Amino acid sequence: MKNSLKSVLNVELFYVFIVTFLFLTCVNAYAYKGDEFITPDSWNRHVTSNGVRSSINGISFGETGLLKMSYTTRAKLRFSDEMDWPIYQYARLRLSGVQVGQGEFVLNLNVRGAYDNAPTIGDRNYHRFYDGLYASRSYNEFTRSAENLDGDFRIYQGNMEFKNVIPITDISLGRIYLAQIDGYKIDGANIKVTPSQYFNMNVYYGLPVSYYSNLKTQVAGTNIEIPVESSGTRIKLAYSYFMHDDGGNLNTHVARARLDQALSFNPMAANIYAEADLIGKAVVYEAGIDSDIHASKTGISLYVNGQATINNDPINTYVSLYEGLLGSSEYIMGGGKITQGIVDKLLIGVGYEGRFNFKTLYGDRNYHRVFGNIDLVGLIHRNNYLSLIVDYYNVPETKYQNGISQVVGGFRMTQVFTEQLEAWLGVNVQNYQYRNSPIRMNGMINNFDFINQRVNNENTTLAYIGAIYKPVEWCALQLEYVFEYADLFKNADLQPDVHTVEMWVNFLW
Amino acid sequence: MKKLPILIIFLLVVSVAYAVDSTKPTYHNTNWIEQHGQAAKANEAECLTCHEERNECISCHEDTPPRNHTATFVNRTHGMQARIDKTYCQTCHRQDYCDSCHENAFPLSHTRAGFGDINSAGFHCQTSCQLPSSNWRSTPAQNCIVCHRTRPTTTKSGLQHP
Repeated sequence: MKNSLKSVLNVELFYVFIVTFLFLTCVNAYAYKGDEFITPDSWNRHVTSNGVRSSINGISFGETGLLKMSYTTRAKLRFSDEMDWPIYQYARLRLSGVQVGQGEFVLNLNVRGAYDNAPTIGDRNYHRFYDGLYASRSYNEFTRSAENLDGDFRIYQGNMEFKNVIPITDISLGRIYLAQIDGYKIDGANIKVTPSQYFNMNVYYGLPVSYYSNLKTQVAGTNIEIPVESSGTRIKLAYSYFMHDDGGNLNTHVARARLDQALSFNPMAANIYAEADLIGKAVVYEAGIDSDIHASKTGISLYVNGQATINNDPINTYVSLYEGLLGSSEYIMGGGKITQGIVDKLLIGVGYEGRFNFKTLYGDRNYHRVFGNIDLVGLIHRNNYLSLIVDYYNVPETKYQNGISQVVGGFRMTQVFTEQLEAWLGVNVQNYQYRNSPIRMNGMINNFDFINQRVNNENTTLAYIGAIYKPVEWCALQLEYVFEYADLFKNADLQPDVHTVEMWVNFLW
Repeated sequence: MKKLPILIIFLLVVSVAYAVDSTKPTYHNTNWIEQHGQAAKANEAECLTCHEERNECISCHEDTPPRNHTATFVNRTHGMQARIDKTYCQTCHRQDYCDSCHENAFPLSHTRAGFGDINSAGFHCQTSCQLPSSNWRSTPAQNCIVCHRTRPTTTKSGLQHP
């Protein structure tokens, strides 16, 4: 009887194998183009869990307009020593294509409301949803309760654009992002004039949107751009002047010059860039190349950046919000990454990054970083993308400072099931070795030499699994579970496990 | 009946081998995460062709922290990362973010008993902070001046700080 059953099972398994093999052989469709190593649409979930989706089609508005609306509810349940359940509501609206004269009117409005049942950690006023969208012009903007920090409501993007309503002029008004200075967010205006396809100019003015309501800063600036599409060249010059309400020496500036050159010829495409910035009195620079050699499936990126001069005695580091993050010492850093595709299913990448400071100061450390990835594309399954990653930092000790080393290893995997369903899974294990104090102090009392110089060798493990399901075009549901284990908390006699379940419900019109 | 398992497995295979088209351009490959920043600086208008609402930019750079911002990172190692390479932080943050937290959220050392009590064995002087008589900026108290930008002239009780 047993032999008979075994025989039947063997035959069935053989059939299954044959059928599966034949099916996989005759289907050549990837969820993405395997020979280009394009990652699946939800690949960025390995970087961040964010499940806010964009509208795609929109609704006709008037004769020429298109209205896109979306509403997202995000609910998070996090439990460890204490339980925390923030809830976020996002509403987004974009009206475009509305004809005004010979031009176009565009309206953007993005708002977020947030509630957190436990906005503090221990006795500290650490806000759990204290992220970039929390920045505002005023602490009591709209409905946030200032007393217990238990909720907020923010317009994180709200502006009107008048494109070519006045000939050759684009005007943006409201809460806008300034591309001229790294997406700096202001409440103000940007006017762009394009007299020629080879030249355009912007003038902008506004009040920075910051975590500080009393920033007392205004920014005004201008930039010119010379785009030459035929040669793939772009030259940009920008100058931003930051004015403090008290004026005088508190005022400061950021000036920028940048050259981009796109190269595209068989079998290679590349982007070359070079930029120099004057931030206060400090000069910083960067240059690099990102290239892709199609014929050999090779990607090469090289970059260098650094700071040539320092800001001696910065007067007010809050005015521009740039100067406090400069190096205290002149430095140069750089690196590169090479990726090599092998057949269509395997890609190997290796990279190095290093930094050298011209002085040894507390906030500026030399380091070496080595990183790599092995991507298996459609090997496990035709619509599967698997990446194994490793990233190692070494900060050597100096005469006055202790060394640090960090290594992260793990894998990321995404499976596309259908156009409606994708799932992802990942594990990252981080090991951090450091001493309690970064400074090599000695002569402390009460055994604190031992405490300050104690070596910590701590692991943190992060594992996540999630999926997004789009049953209909106007709805997208995302569910994710994250597990985190931290030696840091275990060593402090705290609960080392953190469990998080997060749900995103998108309605898109 | 014997063929039922075969049919079920076949249907499963069919469902997971479904052909799906990606709308991504070909250069959104495995290196794009490292390259998209410079591409956006070069020609943001090209990004906005598809990402006109900036939703993807805002989601990653302003709304949800990246996976590597674990509880360990938030509570301990972010300071070390900032000392290694502040340009990495500037991908999303500027200085107001650092300061707005550090005004209220103190380092772990500050939470131990007696850190601010001169009569306690855990008092910060000569336990976490060490002052020489000469230059404040080159002392082992550099841990302190990350937040305490200038040398305190008085203590909380109004006495002159050493």
